[in-house]
Amino acid sequence: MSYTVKVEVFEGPLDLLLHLIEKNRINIYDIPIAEISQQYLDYLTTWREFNIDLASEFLVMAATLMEIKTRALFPRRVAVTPEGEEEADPRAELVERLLEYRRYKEVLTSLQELERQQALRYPRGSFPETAPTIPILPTEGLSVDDLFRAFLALVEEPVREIELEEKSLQERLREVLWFVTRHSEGISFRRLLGPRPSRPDLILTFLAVLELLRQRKLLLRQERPFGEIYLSLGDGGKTWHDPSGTR
Amino acid sequence: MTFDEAKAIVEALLLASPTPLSPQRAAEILEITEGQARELLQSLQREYRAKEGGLEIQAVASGFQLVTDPRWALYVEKLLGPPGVSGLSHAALETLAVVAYRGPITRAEVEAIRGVRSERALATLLERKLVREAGRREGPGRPILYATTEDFLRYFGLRSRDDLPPLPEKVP
Repeated sequence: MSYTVKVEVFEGPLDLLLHLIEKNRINIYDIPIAEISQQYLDYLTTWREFNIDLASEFLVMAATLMEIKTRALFPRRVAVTPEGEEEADPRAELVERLLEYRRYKEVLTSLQELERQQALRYPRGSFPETAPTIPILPTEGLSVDDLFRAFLALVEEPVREIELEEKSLQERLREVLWFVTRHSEGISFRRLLGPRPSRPDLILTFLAVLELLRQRKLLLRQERPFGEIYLSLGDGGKTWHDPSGTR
Repeated sequence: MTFDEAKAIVEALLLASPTPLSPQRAAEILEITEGQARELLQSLQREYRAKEGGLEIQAVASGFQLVTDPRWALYVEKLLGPPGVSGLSHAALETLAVVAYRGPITRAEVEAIRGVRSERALATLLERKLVREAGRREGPGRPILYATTEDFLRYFGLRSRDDLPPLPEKVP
């Protein structure tokens, strides 16, 4: 035996409240808060029973309703406040929000009709979607992320902590630069590391390359998507000595 | 160049143009005034309407575009298959409505009106280029402002935001 559960979909707490107000044929300016709060909470309880994820906004609204209900229990001060203003109806702000939200909810039908009408007009070049093609990846001006992915491909084991000396990083920086200078056509990241690099070696080199990229002394290049990443000399010399000192 | 020749050229431009052709652009190409270009486009539009053929010229997003007549949509769909991109979800449409009528507007302001988080809906709209970032609001945090795009006008077949159906009054 099968059964169907019909779950109404509400965009949010305001949508649900408007639904309750309409269903109960309530004057929006005189919402019986106690009754509506109860119905609202009933909905939340049902959803929970069906394990439907509740957006936190629904709970915030539940709290708001409780607060309004509590405030409504206190005898309303008939006298005006010293400022000469009348004590505000605790429901006023909520009513204002509901009315404002309802304007957009109501105009949706017209917009959907426009959307539907326009979908019937095919402009030039309404070609069907062809099979997904492999996006053309840039092979120049790669980002540090690309380099990081190449690095992760080399480090297969989970990362653990390794102590590095500042001095060795400075040395490696000079080494990398020296290597790259010697290969005017560019040197691949893999070759720079050499065969079977030790883990600290790997990290040191990676850090050195990152630092040199930051200083714009290096450029990254790729012959084709997913290909080897090549390092070559950047325009860094000039920008590094930027007199403004920001870099 | 006679009026009819100019009109024929504009017709050719309409077919070739990948985006709605503005009278301004047509005027540049034909070396005539913008007013004349607009007149040509509107004359052409009337002709197509009178002919009741397979095409219509639609005034949309500050330009004119050649589209198939909605009456024959079923047949065009047979040719092209069902539309690849589906219509907007309710949440996206609602968010779009708020941006359209109230934009430029911040995300927080959209959320205040809708009463729900609207990050995902906005991301969808940005991705579909129906909404764009339109600078930042001066003040604490300088939040990003969102506004609708030319694509938004084309999507709903509107000339400008003034063509939007009027927002209902705030009546009980």
